[in-house]
Amino acid sequence: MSSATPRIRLLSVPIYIHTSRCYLHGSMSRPTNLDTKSVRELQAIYKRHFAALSEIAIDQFHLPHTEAAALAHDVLLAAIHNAPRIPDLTAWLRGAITCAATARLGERE
Amino acid sequence: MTDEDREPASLVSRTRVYEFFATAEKLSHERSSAPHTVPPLLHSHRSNLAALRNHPDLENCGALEYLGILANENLNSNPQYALSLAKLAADMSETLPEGAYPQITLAQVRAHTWKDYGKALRYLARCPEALEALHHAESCLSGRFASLGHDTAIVRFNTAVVLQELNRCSESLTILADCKRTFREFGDTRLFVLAAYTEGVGLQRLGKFREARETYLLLLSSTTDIEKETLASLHQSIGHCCVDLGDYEAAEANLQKAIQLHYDLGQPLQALKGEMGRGRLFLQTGDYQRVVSHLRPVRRDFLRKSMSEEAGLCGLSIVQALLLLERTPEAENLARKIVHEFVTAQLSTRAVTALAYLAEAISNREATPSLANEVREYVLSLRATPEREFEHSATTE
Repeated sequence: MSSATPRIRLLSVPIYIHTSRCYLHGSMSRPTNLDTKSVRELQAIYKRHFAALSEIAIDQFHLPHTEAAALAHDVLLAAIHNAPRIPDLTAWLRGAITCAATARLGERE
Repeated sequence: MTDEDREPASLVSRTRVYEFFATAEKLSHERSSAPHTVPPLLHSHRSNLAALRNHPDLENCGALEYLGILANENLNSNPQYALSLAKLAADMSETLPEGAYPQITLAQVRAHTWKDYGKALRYLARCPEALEALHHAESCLSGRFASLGHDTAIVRFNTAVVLQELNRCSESLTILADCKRTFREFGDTRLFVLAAYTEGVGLQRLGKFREARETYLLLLSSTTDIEKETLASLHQSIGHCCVDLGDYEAAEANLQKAIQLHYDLGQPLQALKGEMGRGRLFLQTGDYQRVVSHLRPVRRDFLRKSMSEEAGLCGLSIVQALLLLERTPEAENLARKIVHEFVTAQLSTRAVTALAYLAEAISNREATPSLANEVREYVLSLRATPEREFEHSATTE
């Protein structure tokens, strides 16, 4: 990960933010899986994806930050149960946040 | 400082972050334990699985998910057992304690157990009940959790399959179009391919053979990775469409390819169904002698595997060919044999009545080759509409 990547903190855990641009266009396009057996791996996944998912909800769907964060968390939670049938985690999460944010916007209209 | 000024990560409470890791750990533990705890329980309660309903070792998501895996594995070989497993899981999912998992996880577990139950009911041709189970599965997800789009699409895909069995193909196609979009969005290539294939099957059932073939060919030519099993089914379906479209060369090539793939995959039954398709092809091309010589061993193989219905369908194509060859006594003899096989296998009484009608008509020298085909189509249709009555259209040839 580049040293220029912005860094924030979640609780006491450092988090690296991926911009949604990077998330959507390639640099994370290699299929990844969700290994719920390894806590370390899981922490890394939460850290890696939470910010990017929130950012998509905020930037592309203009959801308020609180709602975007809650949706991103729900998407990651849903991924845990579906882990065995997710072939490509990044693509799955991207689809899930898009679908969730679209539904949220639909509810408002 | 407003929420909009804060980083999203700081807007998720410590409790919810803890919930994520706790759920992951819990599910991971349950998933690794289930293969050790569930099979012995099933073995000791094999004669009465329902008695396991309140067993504490099954009162967790991992165990219920494992029951679902076992149910799916048994769908082909022992659908009744698959149904018992799926029913147990669905019932137990309703009594999982509310606070034991996050609401989202509970909704997912319930939806998937009910989906598996619906699927098992479909395998037993109990389609109206299957539809009810799937609607219940969808209701577990709908409206409450925007993040469960993929789960919803999986349930709805199963609903679309049942709707086709119920001859509600247009509704099915509408649902499949949505499912395909969702599966593509979630990068789920396997289910995308299956949904697209099922779309082709729906079109084929509607008699739109050209559109169905286009759908299959589009899928074949896409860059998508297609599992060998689906590939075999695709070639088989293209073959059948080509028979109906009169494109016999392509039909033969695709059916041969499907048969070879099925043999490579160790699926001799599917390969036999491909051979049955070739029998229909020879019938269409007027090669009646070949129909008889080709389908007789296929029929014998079905009988050897106790697949009386498939053997009967095969036999009816032979009867049709024999009538076309004016070998009436042989046709009558075979028709009576098929009636006997259906009665012995306790298949649909409606099918037996139609077959007996055909045998009598041949005996009275009143049967036309098209009557044999009509009876064949009728027996096939009973899979989707078991209550349908046989109505002979009395066409002449």
